[in-house]
Amino acid sequence: MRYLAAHGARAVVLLCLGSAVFAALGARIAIPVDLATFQPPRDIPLIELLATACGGVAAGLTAPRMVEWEKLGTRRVAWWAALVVPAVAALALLVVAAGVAVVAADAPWHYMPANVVVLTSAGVLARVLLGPVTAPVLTVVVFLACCVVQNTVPDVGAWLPLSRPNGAPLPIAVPLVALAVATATAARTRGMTTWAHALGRD
Amino acid sequence: MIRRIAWPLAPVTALLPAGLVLAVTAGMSVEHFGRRPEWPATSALAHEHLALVGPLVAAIAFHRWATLARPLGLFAAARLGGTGKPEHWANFTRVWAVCAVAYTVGLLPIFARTAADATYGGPAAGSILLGYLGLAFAVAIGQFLAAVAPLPVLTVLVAVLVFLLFQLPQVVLDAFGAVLPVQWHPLAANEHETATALLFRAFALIAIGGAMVLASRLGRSPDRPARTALPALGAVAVLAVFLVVAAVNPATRVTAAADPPRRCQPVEGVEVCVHPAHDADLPDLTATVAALVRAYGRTPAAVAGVHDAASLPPGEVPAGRVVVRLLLDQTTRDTAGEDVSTAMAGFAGCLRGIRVTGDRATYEAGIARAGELARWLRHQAGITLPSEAPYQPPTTGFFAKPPDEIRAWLAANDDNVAQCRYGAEFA
Repeated sequence: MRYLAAHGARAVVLLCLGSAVFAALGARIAIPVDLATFQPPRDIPLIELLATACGGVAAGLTAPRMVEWEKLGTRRVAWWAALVVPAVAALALLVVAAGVAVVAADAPWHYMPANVVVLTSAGVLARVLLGPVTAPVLTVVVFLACCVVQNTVPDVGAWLPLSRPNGAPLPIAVPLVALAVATATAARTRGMTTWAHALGRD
Repeated sequence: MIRRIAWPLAPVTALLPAGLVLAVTAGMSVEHFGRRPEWPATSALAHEHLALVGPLVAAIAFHRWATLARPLGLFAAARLGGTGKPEHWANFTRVWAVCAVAYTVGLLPIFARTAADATYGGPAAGSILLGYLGLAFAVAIGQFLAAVAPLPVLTVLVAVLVFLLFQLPQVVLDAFGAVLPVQWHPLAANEHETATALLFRAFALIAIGGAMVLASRLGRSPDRPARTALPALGAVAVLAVFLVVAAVNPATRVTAAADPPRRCQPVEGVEVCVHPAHDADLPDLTATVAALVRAYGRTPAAVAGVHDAASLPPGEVPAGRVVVRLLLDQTTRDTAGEDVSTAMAGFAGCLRGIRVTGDRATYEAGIARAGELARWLRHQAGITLPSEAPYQPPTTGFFAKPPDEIRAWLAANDDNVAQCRYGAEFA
C-alpha cells in the first residue's frame, strides 16, 4: 500500500474516474479525422481519446518519485513496479467500459480495448525510457499520428499495431505482447531508467 | 531579447512553444488557400484556428506554470516577482506575447493572400481582436489549471480538456459560442459578426480569463492553502455563470447584410448577379448561363435571373430567380450548371405544384422528367457534373430525337415546362 501511495495511486484513480464520467457523458461523440479526399475518414470516438489520454497520463503519474531509493530495492520493488502496469491498463479499460455502457450495442467499440491497452503499454514504456512528463504527450501524439496515417495512407495504417472502427480487429496477441514487454521493462528497471530520471531532474 | 522574455527558463522554453504554435497555425491555414479569398471568412480564421491552437497554447502555459512550481521554479517565481509586477501576471503576459507573435506569423500568409486577391471589403478588426483575446483566454486556462494541479505530467490532459471545452458550441449547444472563442460558423461573403456579440464575447473572455489568472497566483503560496481554493472555485464559477447566461439568453452572433451590393450582367435575356466579393466568378457564371440558354434554344420562362446567394438579402427568394450557392470545393461551372439547368427544366414549378395542389403523383413524375431535361441541357451545354456518370444519349423516347426537334418542342411548351406540365409525348 505504501508503494501505491508513493506512486500517485490516488491521483491515478481520481483521473480515471473523472475520465470515465466524461467518457460516459460524451460517449456518442466522435472526432472525424478526414484529411484525405479519397480515403474514408478515421473517426476517433471521444471514449478512445479519453481512455488513451488517461492511460498515458496514468503511466506518467505512476513513475517512481524516489528513483535512487527504489533502485536499491530488492525483488519486491520489481514486483510492485510490474504490478502497476496491468493495473494502469485496467483503469484505462474502465474508461472504455464506462463509455461503452452508454452507447448503443451496435456501435463499433469492439476494436477499442486492444488499442487502449497497446497505447497504455507504449505510454508505460515511454515513461520507463524517457521520463514521466514526456510519456503522456508522446502517447497522445503517437495515437493522433497513427489515426492520421490510418486516414491518409490506409495501406500503411493496416500495418500499425492499432485497429480502427469497423476495421479488421487486432490479433489478441498484440496487446498481450505489448503489455508483457511494458511490464517486463518496468520490472527490470524498477519503474524508470536512471537516464530518464536524470533527464527530468531539476 | 528572447533570453529576457524566456528568462529564467532556457530560451528553448519560448522557442519550442512558438515553433509549435506557428506550425499548427500555418498548417490549419493550408486548406483555406484552396478557397475563395473573402474577408469575413479570413478574419474569422483569427479565432477559428484556436480550435487546435487553443489547446496547444493552454498546454504550453500549463506546462510552464507547473514547471515553475517545482524546486527550480521557486527561484524563478522570486525573480519574476523582481520585475515589479506580480509573477502570475508577468508569466501570463510573457506566454501570451510569445504565442501571439507566433500566431500572427502563422496567420500572415493567408491574410496576405486574402489582401492580394479579395475583391471586396477589408479585414474585420473585431473578429481578429477576438482571436488574440481567445489566445489569452487559453493561456489563462492553462495557467489556472497549473495552479490547481501543479503536475507537469498532466500537460496532455489539459490539451484534451481545452479541446473539448472549445468544441462545446459545435457539439453540445451552439449558444455557448457567445462566451467561447471558437464559433464553428463559416461566414459567407455577405455575413459579419454582430458588434453586440463581439463585445459580449470580449467581455466574457476578459472576465473569465482575468479571474483565472488572478486565481493562478494562489498555488504559489503553499503556506496558505486555504486561500487557494476559494478564488479557484470563484474562477470556475465565473466560467459557469457565463455559460449559463449564454445558454439561457442566446444572442444573434452572425447577421447577413440587409441589402448586399451586387454586380449584374444581362446574358441572353437572363440577369446574372454576384456579390462583389465573387467578381472573379462572374465570367464563369455568365458563360455557364449563356451555354445553358443556348442549349435550351431561347430565354426560358422559368428563369429570369441567376443570383449568387451572397448577393441576395436574407429571406424569400423572388419567383423566377435561381440562387446559386458558390461552394468551396466545386467549380462555379459545376455548381451553377446543376442549379441553373434544373431551374430551367421547371423544378421550382414542380415543387410549387406539390405545395399548391397536393397532387404528389403528377408532380413527382414531373420532377423525374425535369431531371431528364436538365441532364440533356447540361449535356448540350457541355457540362458534366463530377457526381454523375457521363451522359449516354437514350436510343428511344423523347431525348433520342435530334436536338433541333427538342428545342422546337421546348419553344412551343416554354410556359408548360416552367410550370411542370409535361405532356404525354415526353414519356
